[in-house]
Amino acid sequence: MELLTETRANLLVVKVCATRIDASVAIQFKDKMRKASDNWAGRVVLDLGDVDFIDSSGLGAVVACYKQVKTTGQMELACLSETVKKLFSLTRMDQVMTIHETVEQALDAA
Amino acid sequence: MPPEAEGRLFIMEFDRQFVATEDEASAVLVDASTFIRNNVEDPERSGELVIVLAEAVNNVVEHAYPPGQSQDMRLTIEICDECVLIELRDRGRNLPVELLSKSRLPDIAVDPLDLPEGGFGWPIIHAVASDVVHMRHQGENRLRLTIGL
Repeated sequence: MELLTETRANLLVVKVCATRIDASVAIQFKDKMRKASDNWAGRVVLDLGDVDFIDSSGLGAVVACYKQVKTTGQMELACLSETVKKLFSLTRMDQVMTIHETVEQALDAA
Repeated sequence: MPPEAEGRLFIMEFDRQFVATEDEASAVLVDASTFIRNNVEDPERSGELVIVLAEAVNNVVEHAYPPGQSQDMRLTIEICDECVLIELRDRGRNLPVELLSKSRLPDIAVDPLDLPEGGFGWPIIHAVASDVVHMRHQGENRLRLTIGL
């Protein structure tokens, strides 16, 4: 799994280059995300545009990243597939995290 | 003439036996998800099915066998006219009965730093499946989920 990071305005955009964040890659995702957002204070947008599917282990890893970023800033999500949106609504995590339709929308929300 | 499955018109079946590891399960779930999306018209329902399926399979992978001693499990999916039946079989530990009734999501109205990172799997299964049945027979676990279409 690869994460691409890009700084846009005051945002750190982290793009997940994988189609799944599931139990088999959840720990790897968490470790890479920690490194990607380390030393960044402010808003982080996790771009999930390539991700078709997240299971509850992947969700746990996303929550862990959210908590880690929370100590110095705010992690938001963008570009969720319908199935990923459904996971967030089933677990009510859509009530906890800010979700944007696109990365541009996240930029505009600054 | 298609065979009948418990009175329902049998349409399509997916059947796979594999070692209950995270990597094997992930690969099988990709194939099973494609099977579901190709055979369930409603994209919202197929999305829910794919989510529930992954939670049920991962539960076996995580809890049936001791770490490093994974053995085979079997996944069968039958898509009928009105419902989808998912059956999982393994020969690992007996499924703890309290899990079967664990339908309450972990509390999210907490300090952000205390948000739960687990405990979502069974509540998701119960939220989507209309029927959850577990049987233990001759050392085998059989978990059967019914999801209406």
